Amino acid sequence: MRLRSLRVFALLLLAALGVAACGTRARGDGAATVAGRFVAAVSGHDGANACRLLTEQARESVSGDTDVSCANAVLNVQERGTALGNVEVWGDAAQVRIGTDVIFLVHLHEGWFVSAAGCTPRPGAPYKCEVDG
Amino acid sequence: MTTSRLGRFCRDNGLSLAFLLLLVLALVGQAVSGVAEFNHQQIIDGAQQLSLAQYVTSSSFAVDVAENWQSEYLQFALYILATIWLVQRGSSESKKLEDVGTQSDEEQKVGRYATPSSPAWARAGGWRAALYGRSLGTVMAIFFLLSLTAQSIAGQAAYNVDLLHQHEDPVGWVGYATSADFWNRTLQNWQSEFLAVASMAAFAIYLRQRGSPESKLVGAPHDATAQDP
Repeated sequence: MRLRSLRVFALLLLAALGVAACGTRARGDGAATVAGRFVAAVSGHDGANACRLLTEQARESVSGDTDVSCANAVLNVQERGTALGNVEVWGDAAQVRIGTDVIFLVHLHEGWFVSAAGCTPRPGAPYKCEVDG
Repeated sequence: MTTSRLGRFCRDNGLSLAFLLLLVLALVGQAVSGVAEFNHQQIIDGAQQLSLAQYVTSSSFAVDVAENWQSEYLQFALYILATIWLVQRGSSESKKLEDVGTQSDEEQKVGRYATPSSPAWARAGGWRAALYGRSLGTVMAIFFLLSLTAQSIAGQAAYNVDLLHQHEDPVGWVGYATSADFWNRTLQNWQSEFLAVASMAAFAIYLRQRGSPESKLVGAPHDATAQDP
């Protein structure tokens, strides 16, 4: 391969990595924003708004087998602080730490939604979450 | 390029062209079947489905491609290097038993033993002949390492997506490169490559394929190793 071709290839690779890095950061900001809005809604006792930020499966998990609506049940999620911590985004999934809480999100057509919140780590096993969809 | 020149080019390069075409067809098939399986799992997980274009640029597709590529390049790199020193009596895949090792410059037509039609770096002798004389194994080994690295990077991304969907912490690159997922993917490919090489070396002693350079002549005795008369 000629030197010019190698330079073009290297530039294309750097451009692709740059675009990928920017894309990941933008997606991380989006996930952190939605997680922050969820925590704010729960701590502000705005259950309806909090439920709108949940995935369908997570909404169903909040009420469980009870007749309690999602908007009421979601307010039972324990508040654990509001300071934004580490954000991890991989593909269509994200993990956002807020205070001592760990929140998991998935990216759907309409944007980011919370799939799990109020999570506590378990050694060698998935987190145990109060909201777990 | 005229029709006759194109036809001659295709005939002269039929082996490479045919397998490149098969590669493309197999990749298309892998992409189409892969996106169907991937989206089925996404539905189960309540996650977003991907288009074919999104899938072929995803870490999931990349790791599946890279894990197979690295094992194929490992197979050829090892075979090229192992057959310098290891022989198989009676196999067309082996050189003659007395030729074990890298052989002399005279036998390899290097430096002052080169012919006018020898490659320039083989005629040059010295470091250039030494480097050129190891270029096939070196390039295969480099492609193996690049594919293995690509597998580890894409695999980490795909693995972390799964972990986050299962509400588990993602892992770093070192964590993934030492994980059961990485080594299970890797070793299940390696074992099949080693089996294929061992089978070929042994079957070629007793079995024949008329017209194939991978086989001895049909009438050659079983104990005749590849280049024996």
